[in-house]
Amino acid sequence: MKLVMISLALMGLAACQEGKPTSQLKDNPAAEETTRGGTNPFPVDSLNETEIRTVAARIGYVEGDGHPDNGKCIGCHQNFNNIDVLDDLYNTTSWAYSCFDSGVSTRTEATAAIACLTNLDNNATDVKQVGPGALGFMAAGVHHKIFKDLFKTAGREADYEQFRSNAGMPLAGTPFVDQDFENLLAWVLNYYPSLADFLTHDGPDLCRTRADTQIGKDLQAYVKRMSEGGLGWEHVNMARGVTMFACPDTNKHNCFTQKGQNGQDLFPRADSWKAPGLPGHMRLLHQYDETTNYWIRSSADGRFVGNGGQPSAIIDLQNKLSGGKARKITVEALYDPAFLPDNSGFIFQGDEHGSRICEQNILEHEDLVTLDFMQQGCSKGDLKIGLYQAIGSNLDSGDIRTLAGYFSSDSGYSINRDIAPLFGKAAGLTMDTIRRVNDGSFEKVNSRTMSTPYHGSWMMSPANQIATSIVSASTGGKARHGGYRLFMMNSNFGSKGKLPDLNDPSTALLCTDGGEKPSVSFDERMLAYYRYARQGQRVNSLESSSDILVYDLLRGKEPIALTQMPKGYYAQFPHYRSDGWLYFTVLNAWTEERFVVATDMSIHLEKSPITQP
Amino acid sequence: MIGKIHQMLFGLLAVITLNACHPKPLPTSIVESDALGRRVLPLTQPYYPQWEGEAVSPSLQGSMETTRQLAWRVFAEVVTPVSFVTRTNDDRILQAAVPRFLTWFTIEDAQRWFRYALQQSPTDQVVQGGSLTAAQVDAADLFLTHELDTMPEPLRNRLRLWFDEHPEPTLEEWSGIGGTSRVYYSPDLMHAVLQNYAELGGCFQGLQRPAAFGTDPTCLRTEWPRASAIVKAAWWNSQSQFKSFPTDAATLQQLMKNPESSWMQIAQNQDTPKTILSVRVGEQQLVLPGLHIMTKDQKDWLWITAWWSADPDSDFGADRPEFVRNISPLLGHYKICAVTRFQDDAEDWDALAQKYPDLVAAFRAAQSGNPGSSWCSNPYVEMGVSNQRTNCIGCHQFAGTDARQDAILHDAVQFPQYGTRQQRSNFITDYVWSAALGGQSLHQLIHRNLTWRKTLPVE
Repeated sequence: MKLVMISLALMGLAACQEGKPTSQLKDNPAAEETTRGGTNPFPVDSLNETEIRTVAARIGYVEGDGHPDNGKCIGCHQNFNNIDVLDDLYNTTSWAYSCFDSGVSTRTEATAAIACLTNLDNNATDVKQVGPGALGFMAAGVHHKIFKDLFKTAGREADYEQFRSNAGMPLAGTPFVDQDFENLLAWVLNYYPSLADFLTHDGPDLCRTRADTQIGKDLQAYVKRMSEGGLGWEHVNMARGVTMFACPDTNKHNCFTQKGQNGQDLFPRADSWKAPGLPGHMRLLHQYDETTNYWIRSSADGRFVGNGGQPSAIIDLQNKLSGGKARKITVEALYDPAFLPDNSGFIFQGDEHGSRICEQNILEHEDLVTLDFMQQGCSKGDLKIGLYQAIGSNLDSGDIRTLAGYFSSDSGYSINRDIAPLFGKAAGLTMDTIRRVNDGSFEKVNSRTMSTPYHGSWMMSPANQIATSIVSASTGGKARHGGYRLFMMNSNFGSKGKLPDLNDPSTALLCTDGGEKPSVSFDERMLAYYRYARQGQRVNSLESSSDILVYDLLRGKEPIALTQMPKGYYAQFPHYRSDGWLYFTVLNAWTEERFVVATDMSIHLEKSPITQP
Repeated sequence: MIGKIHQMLFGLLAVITLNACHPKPLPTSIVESDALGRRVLPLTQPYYPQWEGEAVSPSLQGSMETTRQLAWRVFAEVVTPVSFVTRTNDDRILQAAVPRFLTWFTIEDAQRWFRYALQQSPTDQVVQGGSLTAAQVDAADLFLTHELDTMPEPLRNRLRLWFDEHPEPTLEEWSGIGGTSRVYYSPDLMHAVLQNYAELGGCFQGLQRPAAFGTDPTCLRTEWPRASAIVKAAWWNSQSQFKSFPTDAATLQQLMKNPESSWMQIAQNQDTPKTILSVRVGEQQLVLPGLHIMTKDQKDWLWITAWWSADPDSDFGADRPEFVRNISPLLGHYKICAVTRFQDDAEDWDALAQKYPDLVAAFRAAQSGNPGSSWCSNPYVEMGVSNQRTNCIGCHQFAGTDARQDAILHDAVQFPQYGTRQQRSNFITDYVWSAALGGQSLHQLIHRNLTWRKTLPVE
């Protein structure tokens, strides 16, 4: 029976992905199972329609019958609505499942299975350190009797609780009962039968073509005031004397041109990645010596670059100006660095500290090696801000605002093709207002939530007056990218519990035919984003790429691609610093090296319009 | 994404524990000052010392009445608007006025001033740490006033737009054009700091500071000049819930009885008052309910703090002179306290009580929380537990050391009587905390800009 079911799983995958190269799955242990038979103790039985509906309800795809265990997953894991994420989870789950293939009835078998589970997690040297990400959906089954028996048989009963605590899902509430988990596992290993039924998308039919782009007159007038009127953070910072990193004078294009004693550029050019025919340069600022996680962001002055990871870090580029190495400040957080536009503070997320904001000037002290948020100038408690937050500061009051809503996730390594965003009717957004308090710390003073159906991956302009979102559109029930929708965050924004209409003059719709989370420049005029190459099917990371594009909100017209990355190179996570230099990372998938790159091309584009074919 | 969800939940648990330990602080608002303000406002206006006696004067230190009369004069000197004329983009001449301290240096002004001065100085001079000459100081002063004219067009457009939108600016609008700051430095003080930048700049290494009770010599060859003054301002967003604090004897007596109390225990919610110094920055109105003023009128400084009061003629406002009442309705609701030394040994309490019984009664009540020490504390600035028992000078004696302000308040073994008694005989930065504390400190400003200067091409 098992052999038949595994075969069905592969067929299902092939059918769903329409010609996905089998090389992706040729080493799949579940496929191995088809030839070995095995004695895996987990039953993988076929499910009837009722059982499938029950699994879908438990996960949270459908409402179900009111059972208290319904909706266990989707509340937190919104990316279970993403087909590529589910693909990865299928593979991860299969690998974890395969650890039981040789059986677990003897001490030797059980010990081998535990060693196999340990090997699934690159960061673990012992099974007690295995995290849920290494187990896929099997993380929801670590409470199952088979797992308990596994540790008992291996003589490691004492370690089970820590393993379960580290690797088990869900984090809160009761775990799946054994039968529900077995059905879930069967559904996954059968490659999500009827998944299309659950994921049929009913998003709005927006942005059928790029010509559907529209920018409201109020929003455009605002952009004009911020940029040409000098009211945005770029000019405010300039007027306050914020010193831009690596700029010897007031000519922006002279930044990063410093040379070392040997006459070589301290920040080497990387113009081979530029799209042809565009003015400006690209400069390599830094090469990471370890894996980063999710996005990177830099300070308004460009001196500090923060990255997620285990641990996270902030790179201080200052010493590079004297020919030295960048200074790394380890941060006790996991991801989502972001810096305030007035160069005064930054935020990090994750780990036991939660959401923390600190004064940026504490980073200047050269003897700061590890930031544990106990430093004076850091918020004293978890500010409880949603993940993938955007952050900005009010030009008039300095009040800090954060936006956090439904999002699609990108670790920087996990995606290699342009995939449709999937946000449903339930999508929402939380806006928090944070103020400095007079003990040198930060405090949340206001929080507001609103419904944002089909809109997600929210970002915000530095002056916190423009919110940007990605629309999850659909045609014929199939999800697709519906462009970027921009909203001025005036009193109308969410005032009636819903988003303004499409024709509202304080909104815009940019039909870009794809693109990930954007960043708005400090003069509120340019919108930069990255876009993975369009692929008809899943491909290996060496066969795809991603590029940086910018859109001029003042002029309108078409987006301009700044890069033309070769296959296997991924330009990601673009974001502006105060003077208009654009920072981003480049991942070389061939060597797994990641670089921080800066370019002044966007500054050139503000001065002289260019069109691309 | 699984990892992300994990940590969010852990974070939620953490905050429950932490929030229980901290009193709720008050929100403050700062919109940093910029080149627009310097273009429009007058040159920084000096602080003129108000004490005509010796820098160490028993007649001042032994008399609370003399101290308070001097303090009211200083308050008036610092906040009274000074007139100036300014030129619009289209060369119209406008006459205006802003409180004197708003013309003083902010840390952002100092940053731009010092960067310009360093940029203009020969490399040799900077490498050797040579003091800036008087001509270089004058040139940097002048640069600040016309810096905006050297900046990109959008910034000049911004000024044009401001004048378009404010054809006849009010005091509140003039006062807000350059933004706000938490700390304002009189020009004599800032010039002394920056002209001899190598002195303070070389005083510390990184985050290291001398021990609180160490005998390290002072950083400075000489004390700050007599015309030194610093204002620490507590700007509040007018949209925040405003609070007032009764400071009558009965209320203070009760407040000081509770060992765990802070000013917040007696806070009263009320509408943001109209009669309060305020500035308008863009669409925001920021009000000034409290400010510290420290002046180098005497060797150990004169410590004054002023706070807004709904009944300004009672207790700490009972002796408010006529000339203060006449400055402006916006400045007519502030009470003050003032300190010239660590201990309370003024000889004229009884005589003062004859004239102003409510004032002395309130003083006595305030001092009951920390007998023997002098007293001066601002409900809008000193927010921590027991911070209402302090006297400014006690804490400031540790400026430049590694003493933490929470330890000074709460470590009764090392810092008896909330740190109000004299424990040092030399003062590393001459009582100025902002010389060395935190990333916005003057030391950090000097260090940051000297580092930047090294990256410039050698001429």
